[in-house]
Amino acid sequence: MSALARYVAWPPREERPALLPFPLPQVAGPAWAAWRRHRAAYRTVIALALVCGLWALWEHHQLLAGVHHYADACRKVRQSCDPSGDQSGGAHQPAPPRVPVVVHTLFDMAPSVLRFLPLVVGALLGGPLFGQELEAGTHRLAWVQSVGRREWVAVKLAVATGVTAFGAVVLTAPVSWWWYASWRGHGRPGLDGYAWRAVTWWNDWDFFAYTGPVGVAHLLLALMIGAVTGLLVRRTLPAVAVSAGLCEAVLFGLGRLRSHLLTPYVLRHGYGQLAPSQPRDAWYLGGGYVRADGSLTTKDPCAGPGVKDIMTCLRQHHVVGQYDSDFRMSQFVPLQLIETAICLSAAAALAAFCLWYVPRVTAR
Amino acid sequence: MSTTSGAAGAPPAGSDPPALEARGLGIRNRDGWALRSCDFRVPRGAVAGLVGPNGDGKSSLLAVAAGLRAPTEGTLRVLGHRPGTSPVLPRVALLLQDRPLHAAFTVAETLRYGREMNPAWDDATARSVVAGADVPLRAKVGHLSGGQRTCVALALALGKRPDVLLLDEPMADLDPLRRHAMMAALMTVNAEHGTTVVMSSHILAELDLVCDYVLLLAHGRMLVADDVEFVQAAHTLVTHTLDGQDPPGSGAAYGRRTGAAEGDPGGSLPDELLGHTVVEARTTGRQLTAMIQLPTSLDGAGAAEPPTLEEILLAYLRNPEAPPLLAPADEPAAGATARPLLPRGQDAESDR
Repeated sequence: MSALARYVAWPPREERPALLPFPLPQVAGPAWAAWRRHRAAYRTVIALALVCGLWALWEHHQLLAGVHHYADACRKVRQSCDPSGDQSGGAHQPAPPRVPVVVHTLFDMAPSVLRFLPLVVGALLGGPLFGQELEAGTHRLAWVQSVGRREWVAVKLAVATGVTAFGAVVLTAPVSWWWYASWRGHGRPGLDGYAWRAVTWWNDWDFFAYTGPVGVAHLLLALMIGAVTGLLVRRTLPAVAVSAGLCEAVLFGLGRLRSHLLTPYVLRHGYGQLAPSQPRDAWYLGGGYVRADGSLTTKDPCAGPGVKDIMTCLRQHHVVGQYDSDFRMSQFVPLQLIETAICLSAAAALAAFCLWYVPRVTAR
Repeated sequence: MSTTSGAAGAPPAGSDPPALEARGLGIRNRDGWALRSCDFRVPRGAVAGLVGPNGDGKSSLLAVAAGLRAPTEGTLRVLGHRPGTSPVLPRVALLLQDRPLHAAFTVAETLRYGREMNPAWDDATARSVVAGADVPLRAKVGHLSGGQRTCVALALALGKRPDVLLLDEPMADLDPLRRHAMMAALMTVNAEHGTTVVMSSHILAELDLVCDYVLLLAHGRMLVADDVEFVQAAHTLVTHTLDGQDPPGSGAAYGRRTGAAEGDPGGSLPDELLGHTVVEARTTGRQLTAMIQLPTSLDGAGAAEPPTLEEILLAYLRNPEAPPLLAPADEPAAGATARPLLPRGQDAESDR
């Protein structure tokens, strides 16, 4: 505890506002230096996160109101929206109610921003963390103070991680709430559920990377990628560019890896028969062909111009049916936890690399 | 790498380890060796001047002593410890040549940086240095002039309250007033706290005034490392009038290791100087001026006079091949008479 006490200062009575009956702790020691060094960036992150978080809460309210309004309009003009999904009403069918604008904002525009948030964090927060110090030579100033290099790295990473985690939680929580509300709404019976399904038409898995612990873990991993890049590149601008590229590559890789993390559900059916329907909130992974020995293949053996009789061809290749595979909603949380564990382990490994590498750097 | 018996650089019990002690120290930069097989020591409480041509390893030596980089070969012990390790890191301060400071900080914030990064921070000393140099506390560091930056960086170094203060070209960009204020601050801290000061400098004349120990580096070798008084006592400037014979080269400067040992032909050095260790000799017309190390007896036509420290250092700088004059790295067994007369830089390699 005494080691941690260096990082907290309790201002004396004369230095604190008279309104406060108790002293507010302040950061001290190397943590103050780490905060002060990148103060502008950290303040920007915290302010933006708070504003966006509050806006997201307000938008959640707007979403519920919009869907409610849509359902009300449906109740007034029964024919315009039919929960049974039968759209053969004829030419005189009244137009369905207008989809509220908030839906467009939340589910078309927000994901395109959320998608690039890890790039921004990795490039603008992670890249300069060490890149700026090494470029300006101020790392040598820090290394000749009484604080050891390893502690210096640990404190800098901890402050940056704390700020990023705060911003990530503030942003991810309302986004997860949107997602949860729309998922619950999709499954509702009757007109309410119809209104939700008609208004928020996206797949429930589209928000996988922006919700829950994965949303936070992606940002923390991006931060560490940027930090290590800055440490190795030693220049701010190249570090920003390289970090953005690396973060994009890692996000792409994680997206590709995701469908292999759990065993999907597989539905088999005979060739040419109607596929059994999947649950609405499933993540369809793709389909393929079932061979006579029960093995699955995604490759179509009879694709190509030279095949005349498809059924004969399939029989020659011992294909007896088709299959569809998907993840069910019951796998959502396990998949989130697995991907979070992967991201956090990678982030921890990168942080450990920083701790190992910095004491070995030769400074001139 | 450890040459002493102590494990992991721990000082031997009972003795007071010197401020700096190098054994077989070698530093290799990207473009070659900056320093090789250096053996020297700086006693505690000394004010040592580190002299040498540009780019000859002074900054590298200070960076190694501050723990910023590791030596390529050999060892350097600071207060008996490996530089940069936790027992010695709070006790050593370094003023870097390019004075790295956070440009976005104000001067007051820079002093707070020193306070937060150093548990033994001496705020009064740091503030007096800044105030003495007339640097406004609210100014951004990025807007300061070079000399003001130096003063702020020095305030950070002094506020750390180090036992060993390493200064890289501390006076290079200071005006005369601030230079005097800085020297006064250094002398004060040396006198009051016994702080060892090691400063590299080009200004030889000023070193004469403040330094009581001198280290001279040239071409990767440590040529002189000893007390200023001893260095001055150990050298004699001999002026010799060449009679009759032709001067070996008008206006030429030349140096010889030891005239007698190398079988010097009589044409280049006069007979009186044979058998002496000549640091450097030069002729001007019919006058031959020679800097002689540790003269035993001077009888001849030469007029001998005690040289200034500047003259001695210049002589070594002009002739980097001169035999080094180094205080013994081990505790002298029988006082000053035990000083070796042989160049130590050569047998150091075979010792290791």
